[in-house]
Amino acid sequence: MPHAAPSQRRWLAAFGLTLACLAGLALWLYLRLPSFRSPAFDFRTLGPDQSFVTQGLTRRQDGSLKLGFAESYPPPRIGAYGNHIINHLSSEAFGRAPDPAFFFNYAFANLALPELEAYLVHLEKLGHLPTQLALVQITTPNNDNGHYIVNWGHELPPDILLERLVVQGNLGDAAGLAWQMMRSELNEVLNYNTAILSLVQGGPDNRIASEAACRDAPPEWLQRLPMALRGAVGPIAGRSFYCLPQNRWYAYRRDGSMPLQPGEGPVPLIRNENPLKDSERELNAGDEARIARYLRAIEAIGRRAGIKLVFLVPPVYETDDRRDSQVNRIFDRGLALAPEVPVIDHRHLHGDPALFHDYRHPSPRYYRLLADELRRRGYLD
Amino acid sequence: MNFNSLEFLVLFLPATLLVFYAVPRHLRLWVLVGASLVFYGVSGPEVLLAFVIAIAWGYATAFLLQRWPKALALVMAVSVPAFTLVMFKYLGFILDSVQAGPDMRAHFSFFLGILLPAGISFYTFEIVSYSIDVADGKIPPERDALRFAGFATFFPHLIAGPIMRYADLRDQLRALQETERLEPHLASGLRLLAIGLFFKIFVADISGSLAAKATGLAAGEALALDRLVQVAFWSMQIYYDFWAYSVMAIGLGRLFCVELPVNFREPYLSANPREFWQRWHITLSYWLRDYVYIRMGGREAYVRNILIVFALVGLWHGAGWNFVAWGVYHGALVILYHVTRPAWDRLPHAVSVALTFTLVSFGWPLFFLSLGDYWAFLRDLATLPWGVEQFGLRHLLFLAAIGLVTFGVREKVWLDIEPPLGRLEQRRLLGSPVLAAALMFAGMLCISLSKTFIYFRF
Repeated sequence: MPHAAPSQRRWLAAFGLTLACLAGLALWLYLRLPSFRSPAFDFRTLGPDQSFVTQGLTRRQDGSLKLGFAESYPPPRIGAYGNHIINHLSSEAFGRAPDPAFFFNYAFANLALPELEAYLVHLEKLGHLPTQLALVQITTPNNDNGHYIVNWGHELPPDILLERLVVQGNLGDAAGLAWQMMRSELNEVLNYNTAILSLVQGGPDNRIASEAACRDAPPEWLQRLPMALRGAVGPIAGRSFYCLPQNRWYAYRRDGSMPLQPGEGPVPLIRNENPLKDSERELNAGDEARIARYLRAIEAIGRRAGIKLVFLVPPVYETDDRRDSQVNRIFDRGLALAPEVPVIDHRHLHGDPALFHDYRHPSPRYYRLLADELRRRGYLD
Repeated sequence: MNFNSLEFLVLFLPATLLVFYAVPRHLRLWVLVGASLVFYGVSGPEVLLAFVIAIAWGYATAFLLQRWPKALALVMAVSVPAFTLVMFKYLGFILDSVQAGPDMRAHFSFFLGILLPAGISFYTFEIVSYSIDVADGKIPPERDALRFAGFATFFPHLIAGPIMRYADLRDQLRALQETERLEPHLASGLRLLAIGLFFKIFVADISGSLAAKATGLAAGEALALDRLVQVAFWSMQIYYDFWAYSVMAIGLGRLFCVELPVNFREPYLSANPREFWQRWHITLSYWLRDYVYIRMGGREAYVRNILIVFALVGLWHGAGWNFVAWGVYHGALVILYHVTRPAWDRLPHAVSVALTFTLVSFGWPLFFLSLGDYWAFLRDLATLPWGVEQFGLRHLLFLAAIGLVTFGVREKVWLDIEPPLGRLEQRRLLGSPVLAAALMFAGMLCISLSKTFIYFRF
């Protein structure tokens, strides 16, 4: 053990005690944050014009809202899994009104392939995979410079990772998963967002918005509040906070899709919005094998459940020359290693602005085109 | 692994410290080397392998330097680290510069596919300096492979410096192996770690986000003063990003009883460009002075040598013509000072500091913009209407607060970075353990907002 003078020891004791108290406070704030997973919210109770506003939820809560629904209620015929990129995919793409018995969008924060595998295995165990088709979206390489494809986020609840940990036969994989679990929890507990939202967040009661529920003008004091304070103080105002125009559209409809604001065309589109700096990319040589491994593992889940499963790589709004990006090349090699896995690769649809809501989020028109292709290829039969 | 990550601060560092102080003295270096390889290895097996090969090569070839003809042995010793550096860092730049087509690139797809190994420029320079010092007879080749590995891998300086010389670390590493009871200055180390983390997140990263706010705007969305404020934010981002890393590195070194050299001495208070380079990234400046500039003849061909050295400084910072231009720009500033020195030195001190800061600041956009974008940026500054569109009062107040700390308060008052240590712990507020813990906690709570250190990719 190191030698320390008494003054050093006193300093260290005070430092450690203060840090421990603050960390304890952060843990307490984390523990009092509602999960939004259990009891599960039943999306089927939402009316056609109602939505569940997610403004002011952490990413994990946001995803857990749908996870709870997936765990507790009967699955739809078609389920879409992936992350925020496909938030706007709705039943309407298939020519149907939002109907959770036909289609549900389970998009969850920033999930990447390893987490999607864990998520789908979890649903498989519960017998809650969709009955006909699982559409699994992969983050387009140029969307975020290779992020969220094979690298982990911190958003999936730990019990789902723990399930995977228990069944790992390989010590290396188990150690990797345990490491990811620890990282996830640390980043959830020691997080300013968790701490603030734990103090100000209300329950689900006021979060159901609709034209009728949001008819009254919000209180003037709420509108006058500076934006920086509005998120912290606003929930006191109850439903009117969630009815504010800028909050209301961060919401999920009864089929789990996120609505587009009425009358809203494509938002200002920035072509090549992500600069794809080579030094900041997240896909590296060697990741090809991991991509192929996860594709096969996820595809096997569909086969075991006797349902169709297809991967989707949506486009991003960009110029032709970016097709040859380093992350695209690595991803292509990964796909080539698993040629038997069905993938709808739409990266070539990158140039038509009508297919985009913004650089990375496709528009309803794109989803109609996708539904046509699924139909044509027999996935909807 | 990043210093500004929870897995480093909450898991890796405490675990390494516990094991380091728990094991017998002869195992301490094993613990440090093992932990450092884990620290580096999380980036991937390929980069770890390249690193280990570079270390092994540096260690083994040092013995040839005593037996073979010096020039031949030196070329041999430097070849593998230099080759690794070129292939991982500069290959893409070279292929772009010669406008290589897909067929030629296909030959190099292995190297092009691997992400630039973190800190490769730092550890290559350290291993090369060791070989040159052995060749020059300044130090004998190290026989203890573990000690040499400890020098090359010691994680606090591994990724972004300071660039160490073997002679600086050798005795300290030996002391770790031989001293029965270590006496680390843990309070000072933890204070510096907390301060570095706080400045990285709340000064460097916020400045970077604000500077980025004005990047890529369409015509008419930004005015001339927006561009000036953007330059100021970039200046603060780059300085505090690298400064914070260096402060954390020194703090971490102290936790393990290793004193790393100071890399910054308030460079924005420099009165001329030459002084700036004596106070900015000091270990790189001295490395280039000792191993390049003096060997090229130093003052014998001052202008030529300065331009070459600074072009190398630029290339060291990044594989791109924008970085070369940045280096040459600084070389030109140093030459400008050399030529106008009598007049420059007569300027009032405040004026010369402001002039130096302004000239240095106008180089920083080259870290973020291509050459074409940089010219457009300067054109914007000259032609856009005078006014601010993108930045509000709160942004300017934030900038003023950073400016006040940078220019108005001397580090010796509040940082306690240079020995003798322990002065600040006597002071009620600045040395307070509660303040240090609060700064560290604030940093950890907001760590999700933090970006990778800019110099990690150099």
